[in-house]
Amino acid sequence: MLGKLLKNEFIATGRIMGAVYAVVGVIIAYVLGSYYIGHDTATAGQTIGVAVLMLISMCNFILTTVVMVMNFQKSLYGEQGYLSFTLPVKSVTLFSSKVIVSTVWYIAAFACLMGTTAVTAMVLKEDLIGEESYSMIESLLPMFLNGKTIATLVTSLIVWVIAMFIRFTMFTVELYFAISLANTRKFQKRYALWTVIFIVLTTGVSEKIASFLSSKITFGLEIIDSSIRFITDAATLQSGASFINLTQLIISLIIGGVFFYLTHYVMSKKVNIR
Amino acid sequence: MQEPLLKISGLKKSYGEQRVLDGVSFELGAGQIVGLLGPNGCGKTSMIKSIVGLINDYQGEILINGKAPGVESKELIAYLPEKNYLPNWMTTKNAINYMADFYKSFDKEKAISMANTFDLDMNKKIKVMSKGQQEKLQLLLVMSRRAALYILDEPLGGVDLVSREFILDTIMKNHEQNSTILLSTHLIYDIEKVLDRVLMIKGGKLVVDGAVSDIAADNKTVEDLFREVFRYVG
Repeated sequence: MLGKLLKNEFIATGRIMGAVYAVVGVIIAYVLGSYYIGHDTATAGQTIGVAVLMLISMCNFILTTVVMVMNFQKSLYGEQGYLSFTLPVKSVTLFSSKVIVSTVWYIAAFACLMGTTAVTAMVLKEDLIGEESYSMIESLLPMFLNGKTIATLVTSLIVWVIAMFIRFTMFTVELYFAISLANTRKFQKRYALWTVIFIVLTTGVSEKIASFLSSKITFGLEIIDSSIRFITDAATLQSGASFINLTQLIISLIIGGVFFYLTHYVMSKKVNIR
Repeated sequence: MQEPLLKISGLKKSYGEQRVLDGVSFELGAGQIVGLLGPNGCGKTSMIKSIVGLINDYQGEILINGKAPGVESKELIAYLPEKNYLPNWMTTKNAINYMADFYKSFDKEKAISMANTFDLDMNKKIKVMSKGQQEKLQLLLVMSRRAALYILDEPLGGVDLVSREFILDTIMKNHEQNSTILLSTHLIYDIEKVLDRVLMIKGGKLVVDGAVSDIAADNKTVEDLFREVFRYVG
């Protein structure tokens, strides 16, 4: 059933998000197409194209959040809840499908930002950031990569992508917990206001807890030259090494799990569909 | 002994201080057409929402084929709410495919055939449909299920006499054999002729639970009894 829920969830959210990515795709195709046809300097069309791309990519996170929040509210706690909650699926499966789809859209928004940045850098180069800045980046990049093996870079990239995935998922769960709590009987009359209040509270509290505990417990990956190793004592961290903090990630994961359970509890026990 | 299709024991539900269901108990077997009657606000919809799993914080016990409302009961029950619950971007075709995706008991061929009979355009979006077309679509989605229990909440409310006849006719012709229909309404005259049994709710309590044949044996109609119970002025 999860597969069917995911399919229908993507159809429901994809109408808006799909249109955004179609526009992004068309602009990227135009910018890259005209770039490869051959221009030494960026044309006005390319400059406008990348400016629009950057704008869409940055606004995309806000748009994704708005679409996900509205879809969650309408499909579960609005009149469509009469359809969603009478489907022969467990409420935990229903909730999981919403979390998975939202996470995918956030990752798509992030990938879109990365892709847009790469296209911008490729096409505009010196035109955008100035010759000196571009040269500086060109000279600094080998220093950053110096000594690091492909395996080290790939490993740190994988850890970083997993960390991003977890962060987006946790944010989604916190968001959905806030919306679900705002739809319980006590807060239902002014659910929009309470949703905002609960979002601020849940994200704020979970961030504080994660920061506090990660300042007390050192656990992460040290990346230096061609080696990656686990660190449990901050004093042993070598100067110049990159550090990936796993404590904050693990704590975020635990907090996310708690919010997931609480949301499921609120959804299945406390919410009366209007 | 065979479990009743629906068994409700001591069902209570409150909204804050206001109690809307106060110890309702009854059982439904297979193959009955039951009218759930009472004026607006008497607790009919709250009871229905508890049976179909939209309300969970009730007291008492609800058993559908011996099990509490859950995944299995939702496959057995075909529910028509009062509201338009379909996303407005969906077309008739989308809505039929959606139901076919989730319900094993959904007969897609029958749904398509009913859509044609009802003259519903398969590619027309719900947001541009008239209210009557939306109601027809929701009705066909429910009646295309091979369900054990059909729960229809005020299917005749807010429509004209001709539409009421059409809706009732559709329900009677399309429900699964040996299934039970629980039909909530306050428009007794229209449904009296099809009912086997009536349940009347007043102030959250079940005040009448009787066979229509027994009511007729007392030389009364269901409408007479309804007026008596709720003191309606004729």
